[in-house]
Amino acid sequence: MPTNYQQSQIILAIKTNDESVLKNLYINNFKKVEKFVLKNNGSSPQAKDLYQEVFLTVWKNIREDKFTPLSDYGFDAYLFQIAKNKWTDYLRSSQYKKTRSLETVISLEPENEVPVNHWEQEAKLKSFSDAFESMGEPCKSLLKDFYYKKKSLREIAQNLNIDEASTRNKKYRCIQKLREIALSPK
Amino acid sequence: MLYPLNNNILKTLDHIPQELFEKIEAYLNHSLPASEGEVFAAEIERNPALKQQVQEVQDLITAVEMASLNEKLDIFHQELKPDSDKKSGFQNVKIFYWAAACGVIVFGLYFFLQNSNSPEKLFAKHYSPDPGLPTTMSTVDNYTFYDGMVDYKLKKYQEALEKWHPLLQQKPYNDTLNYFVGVTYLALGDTEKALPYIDASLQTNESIFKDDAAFYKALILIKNNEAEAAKKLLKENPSERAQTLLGDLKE
Repeated sequence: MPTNYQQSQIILAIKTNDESVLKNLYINNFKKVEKFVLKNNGSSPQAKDLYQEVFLTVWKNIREDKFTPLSDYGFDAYLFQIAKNKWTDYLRSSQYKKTRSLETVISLEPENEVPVNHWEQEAKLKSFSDAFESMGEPCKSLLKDFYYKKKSLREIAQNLNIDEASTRNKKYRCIQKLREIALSPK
Repeated sequence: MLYPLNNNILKTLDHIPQELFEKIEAYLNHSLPASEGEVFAAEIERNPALKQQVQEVQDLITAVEMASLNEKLDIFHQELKPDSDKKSGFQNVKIFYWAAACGVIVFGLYFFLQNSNSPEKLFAKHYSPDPGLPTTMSTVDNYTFYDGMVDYKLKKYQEALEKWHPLLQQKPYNDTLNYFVGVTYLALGDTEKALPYIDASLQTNESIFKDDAAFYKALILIKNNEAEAAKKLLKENPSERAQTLLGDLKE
């Protein structure tokens, strides 16, 4: 199993959702994050939740060119740093402070200011993601094939046994449906 | 073409017509012809409502991809083995030593024919640099450590030592650091400097490097004409290659 990726391999894999590389990156970095969380008053399920959230954040930041790894070590270090920051944020949170005295847990860096629109965008993404998860299978599958698996419309059309133009229209309707679900009052 | 200006938040935006949606999508995945892409980019800059629509399409696409990947993460997670880092490390080391042992046997036959067991020749026969840790294995929470490990594996021994020595000052009793600093000096041919670090790594009873450290220390002792001390150490730490070396020492 190859584990030492070049910068270009990591970026390409993330931009094309190459699952074999993503899986290796996921597996190779989990234990370190878990160890950190366990050492700092966390549990294994908390480590898993934190890690998956961080993994998605790193994936997104690389997609948006907010971070460019110089090698897999750069990727590893960046992911671990974000995990540490997020866990530190959690330890600072009121939810955690209710049960533990902060001073006994970990020495903390000063909090970084986060722009308000960052949270707005995060909330919007979460709303769209939740909506996607609640969609019916036909739309979900079509959108996943096109946007995540990067299949061509022609390929999807062949699988659905319909023509390409109909597939294009169907994809658009599914996106509209996704948007409606996300924006409908809960 | 300018799109209707609307500064309200997302919820009040009209739905994006299919033609515009597909143009934005093509713009985002860089499949618009270059000239058309440049014109469209300029238009986005001029028109805040269009800019918001582009952002919305981008968010929709990202959300679909993130949700799809999120589903996969649980599947990836199932492939993690309990204590996979340590076990895989052991397994890798074990496989390596099996391979090394086979190599030793082959070379052993060759040297047997040569029928010579001088300390230098024994050292040369049995010594091979430690292969280093898999650089994805987490035994020490330190990026610099792995950075040094990359150097070590590339035989940039001085660079590795420069990265590891400051870490060792912070953690003078760390068996991993002591062991690798020691075997790095050994790889540089400096047995005198290697010995105290290898000794220090031997002080940790539970160290996964104990057998290896004992083997390398025994080689140093052999080179220093202290065969009896080497034998004692090898008997106390009877790894496979220690047995092979012991066999040669007894001849």
